[in-house]
Amino acid sequence: MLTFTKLVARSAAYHARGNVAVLLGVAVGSAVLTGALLVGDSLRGSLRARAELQLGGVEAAAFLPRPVRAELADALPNTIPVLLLPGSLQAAGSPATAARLGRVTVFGIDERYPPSLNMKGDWNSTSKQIVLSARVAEKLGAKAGDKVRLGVEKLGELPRSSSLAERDTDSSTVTDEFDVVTVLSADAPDGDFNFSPNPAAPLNVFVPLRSLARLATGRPNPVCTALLSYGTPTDELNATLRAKLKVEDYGIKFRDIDRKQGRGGYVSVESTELVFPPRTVEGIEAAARALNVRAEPTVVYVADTLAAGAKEIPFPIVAGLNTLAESPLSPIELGPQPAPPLPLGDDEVELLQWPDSELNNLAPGTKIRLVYFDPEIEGEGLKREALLTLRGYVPFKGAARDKDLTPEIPGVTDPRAELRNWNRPPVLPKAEIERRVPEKPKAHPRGTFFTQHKAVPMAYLNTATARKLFKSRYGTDTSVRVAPADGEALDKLIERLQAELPKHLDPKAAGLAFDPIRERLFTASKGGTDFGGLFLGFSLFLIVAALMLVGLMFRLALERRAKQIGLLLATGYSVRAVRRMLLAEGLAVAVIGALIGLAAGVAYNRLLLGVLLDLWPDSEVRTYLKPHASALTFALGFGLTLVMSLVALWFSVRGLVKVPPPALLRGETTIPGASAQGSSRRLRVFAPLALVGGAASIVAGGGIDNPDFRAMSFFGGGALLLTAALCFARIWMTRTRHRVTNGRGASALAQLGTRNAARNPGRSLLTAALIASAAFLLVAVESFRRQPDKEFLNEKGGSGGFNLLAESSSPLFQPFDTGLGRADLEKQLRKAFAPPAEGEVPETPDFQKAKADLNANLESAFALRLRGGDDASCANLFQASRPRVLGVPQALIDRGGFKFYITAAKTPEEKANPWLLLTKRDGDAIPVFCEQNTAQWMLKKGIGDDYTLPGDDGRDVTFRIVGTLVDSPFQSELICSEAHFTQTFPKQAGFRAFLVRTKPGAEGDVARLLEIGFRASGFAATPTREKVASYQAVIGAYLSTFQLLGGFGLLLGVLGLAVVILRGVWERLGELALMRAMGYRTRALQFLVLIENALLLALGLGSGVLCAAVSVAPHVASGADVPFARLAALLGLVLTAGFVVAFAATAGILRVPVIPALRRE
Amino acid sequence: MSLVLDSVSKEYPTRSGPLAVLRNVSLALDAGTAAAITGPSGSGKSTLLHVLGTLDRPTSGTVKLDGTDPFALGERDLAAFRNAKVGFVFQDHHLLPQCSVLENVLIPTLVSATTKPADTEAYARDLLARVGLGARLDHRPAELSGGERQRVAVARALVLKPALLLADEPTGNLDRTNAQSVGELLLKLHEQERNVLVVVTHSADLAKMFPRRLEMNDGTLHAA
Repeated sequence: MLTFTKLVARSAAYHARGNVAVLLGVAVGSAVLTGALLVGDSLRGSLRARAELQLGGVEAAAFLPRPVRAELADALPNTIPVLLLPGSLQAAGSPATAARLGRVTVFGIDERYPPSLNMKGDWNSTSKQIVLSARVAEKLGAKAGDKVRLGVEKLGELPRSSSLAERDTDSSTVTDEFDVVTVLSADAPDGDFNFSPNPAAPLNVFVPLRSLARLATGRPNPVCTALLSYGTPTDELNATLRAKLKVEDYGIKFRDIDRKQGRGGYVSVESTELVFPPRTVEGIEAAARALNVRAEPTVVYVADTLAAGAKEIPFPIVAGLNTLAESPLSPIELGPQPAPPLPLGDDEVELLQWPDSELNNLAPGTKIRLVYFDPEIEGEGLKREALLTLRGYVPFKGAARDKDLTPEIPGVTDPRAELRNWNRPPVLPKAEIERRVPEKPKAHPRGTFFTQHKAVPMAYLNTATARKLFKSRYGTDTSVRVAPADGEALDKLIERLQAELPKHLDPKAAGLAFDPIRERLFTASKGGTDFGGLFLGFSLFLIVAALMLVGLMFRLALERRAKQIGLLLATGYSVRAVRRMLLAEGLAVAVIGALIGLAAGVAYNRLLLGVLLDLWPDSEVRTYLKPHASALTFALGFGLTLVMSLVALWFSVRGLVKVPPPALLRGETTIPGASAQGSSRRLRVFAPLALVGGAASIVAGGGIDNPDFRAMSFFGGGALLLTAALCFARIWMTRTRHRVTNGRGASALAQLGTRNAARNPGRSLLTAALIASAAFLLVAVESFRRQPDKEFLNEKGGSGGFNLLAESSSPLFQPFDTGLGRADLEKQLRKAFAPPAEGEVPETPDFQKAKADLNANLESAFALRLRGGDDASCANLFQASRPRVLGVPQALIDRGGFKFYITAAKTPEEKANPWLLLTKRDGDAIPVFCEQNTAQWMLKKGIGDDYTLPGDDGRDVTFRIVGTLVDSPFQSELICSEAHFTQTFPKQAGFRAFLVRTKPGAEGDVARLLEIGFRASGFAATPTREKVASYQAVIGAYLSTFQLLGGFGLLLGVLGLAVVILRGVWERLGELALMRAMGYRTRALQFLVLIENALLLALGLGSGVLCAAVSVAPHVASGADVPFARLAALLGLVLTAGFVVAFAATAGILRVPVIPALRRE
Repeated sequence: MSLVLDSVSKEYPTRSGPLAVLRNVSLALDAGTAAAITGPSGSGKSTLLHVLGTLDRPTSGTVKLDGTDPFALGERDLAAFRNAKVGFVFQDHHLLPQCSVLENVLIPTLVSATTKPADTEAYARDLLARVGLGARLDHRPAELSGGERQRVAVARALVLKPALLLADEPTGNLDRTNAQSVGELLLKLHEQERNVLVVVTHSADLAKMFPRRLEMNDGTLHAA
């Protein structure tokens, strides 16, 4: 029994050949759609798998700002301690020639470390054994049994920027030789152990915790800088951590100052890092209040000079405190006091009255010049001056002899310390001390005083003045002195403070908190860019092309069945019923096509990934980016394909069923006359509007600051122009009066062929639109392909004029272009080029040559501050949620340079040097620059947008993008001024990034010498051209992949063209046969068809290229070097392919015998 | 049942202005009437047939079938009207090659709102038996001769018992024997069904078989 369904099925089967084309079109659409979504799945799945692998089961991690006792981990559930340090490695041999490796991650572990490592030896010992990951061993050329030299930053207690800290390489880094006991296999998970969502493969090495602790701190006490937790919720961990933290874990220590003089002792609460952050001081004061005891914050500072006229005291110690504090916290409790006592005013000073003081016997009100060092010394240091007013003298007795006001500083406050042995360049160099405080012929009183009384302050300020003068980003107060309750023993007070103080300290603000690292990495594994969306976006054209082809094929198939449709209508089928029947048939075909497409989508995904990975510059990506799939993607791919196919089918059926049945019965498939003319009239109105709108959009786009809106405006304008071009073509095709085709030979044939192209305007335009869109994609994408341009190395070029960008594992504290830093570099080079020997290092000829090369070729260098974080460049497939931040010095800001895409500059000065924008803070937001690509694709931000990152104290800090750079080597970070950097990230000491300018062509030599010199710091320099080229290679990989999609689209367009030409020839077979009967040669007829084909190709390519050229205008205007030759070759290839296909398509059919063809007519 | 045309005209727009194909055609046919319309090519015969069959809308004038003006109906109702009231036989049989003989006859029933499938199938079998194809029900059109295909087309036109049966050159593609056979068949079935039968033909032999003959000339209709 025939039913509707049966009829549909029967029709679908009977017209299988026609339907196969439709089915293939749907399958292509489904494959492309599903494949694009699968690319997204693959990225997410691969990154998630990589995140799992690199975490090694770690759920949460606390990265501590300073070494903390390792036993803390035992008090926390499922937690192990790791002394995690950045480091460097050198292979055995001469430092000048041995292989070096920077950016090494050193894991100091003990037996608590999960036993995934194939570990030999005793990991609880201080043995000098090291396990290398396969990657490290390969790069270093090391194997088990070899010796390697490991370098790490020396973990001192003083901030390196304090005036008493040592900053040269030998003081700030430490190296030692280790035996390689094991090289991990390439697939060992420990080789990938890493906590950052970064693309770079980690360079992991493992050493015993105690031995690393001894190397870095000088003591074998097990300490850790990371706590890794497996399987305990972060909130629970943080709660437990807070409860288990001891005061010492916050970097706080107690000294009981059991004074013999005065009225008893006090407890000095001091920082292990010399100064307290303000919040810690507040906590200590709060704890004292809770314990009902008195506390006085105290500032002690080593100054350069106290002077009154020509009289001076060199290197005095100055204290800032409340001079009126009650005993035992006042230094002047025994001194003569006015009644009532007056507190020291701002900028007033009381001097210690000691017997040999140069400044005794000055009248109150005398101006005292205080010369002191800038509290933050990195580089050459800076002396500052303050003019103080003498209030009076403090008698040198009782509490005023309190040397313990000065916190413990090794080498300064030790019982055997001597002033002359201080050697802290640049501010306290030994030679300068010896010059100003000579021992001979007569001992200088300052030296004698220090020998006898150590660090007793010689001048007192009030706390506010001291805080104002000696304020540093780490804090200012050196101690908080706490007085015991009446009759309370100091050790009891310490006990009470130890118990109370943690209640008033914020572990998070102190950097003592667990981060849900697993959750963070999994969030990051969703990808910096939505690959699914991106590939879907670029595949959209391909999908639309496939669907257009589906519509075209279906329409062509239906046109062959026009008489049947006419009959059905004549038989009483309503238009709706016929449409439903045809759509049902189309849908049945689409279902099969979509299912086939799902399978093909898997292959398509593999193809795209394969192409992308082959082109991706970092081969490491190939190790983890694998195909992944989810059921949801298949469901989406299937469902969306069906819906879109149905729309395409509906459009192709819609027009056909409107044709009157008699016309259909005659085999006609279009409505002649009135409707076409009506459509043409509408187009005559719409086309000029689109043209004007497109032009207006492009012109208006030039005045838009926001790059996204500007790009949208240009692209929209280009699209409107394309639409206008196609509309005009349609008007031409449908116009009733064409020039009379007349004449002879090729030109007449060409005219006839041109007319034939207009025979089926719908089909012809569809084909042209397909080709136009593909050409648009190819040209637009190709125009975005870039390489460092000719101007790259200019000051206003992408590199800013710097041909090297370097980073070090451990910070350098002295810029190396001049002064102390340069001297340090030369010292290190001298050691590297000298034979190993004890004592004075000789200057070898190799060193002299190296020094000469350096002097000749190193033109300038800027040291930048770097706060580590996620690589926000396009090379990172992970989502960068905490990008790296660079702090650039004022000198670089003043210098300017680099190439900008857009800035928020308003004044002429800012326009001339946009770097000035970095110095202007707008409210709370810190102004920053970043690379345009990074802002647009990774951070999804534009000019004026804000980005929030946690500062060193855990609080969120807002950064505002005030400019974007183009072709710069800074693609993985935000750039702010050094001043803002140090405010926001006070714990980030020293310089870890460097911009270097060398003589042209000498960058390789300079890089090598710098890497040798700073080998212990893991210094690694990369040519900026190479770095930028590597980023551009990533962009190129994307572009090539997208061009592949454009190529597929073009293939579909050319296929569509072939179908249309074939169909047209088939329909005109009788007509062509008649022409042959009249004496036309086959070649002439083929020429006729090829002209028709050429017109459509030219229309498609021409309008597509024009549209693309307009839409990429802003990019070209920004100085892009468009590869015109390559583009021309590409389009020439397309043109050739179009002709070849048309030639092949028509060659056979034109040879059909004349008589049968005429009979068909 | 009656078919009444009153001053029906039909014009087509051309680049040179409207082209009149039917000019004030009036016609009245009662149930049981069979008429043949002849005339030269381009005289408007087929257009008239298409207007009668509601496939084409007249430019002016009215068409009433059994008192109903089908052109006053909406698209859906018009289709239903045509399905129920009008049967077509064309010069080209337009059989669906993918369907069997019986299925082809049943094609109109698929969209009929008033018939029962079992009844229509029985009637289709009956019709096919009456046109001499009772033994060829499962055959495909490709397996039939030209005359047989046209007989299937006649059966298909009658399967819903239309009040008006229209045939456009039904024997145009047939040889004389087959043409004679199809003409007789049309008339025989017309007598059995008592519908209005209008045949447009160039064939004088076919026209002679009809009791009423009309001639179309330059868009006007006259008694032959």
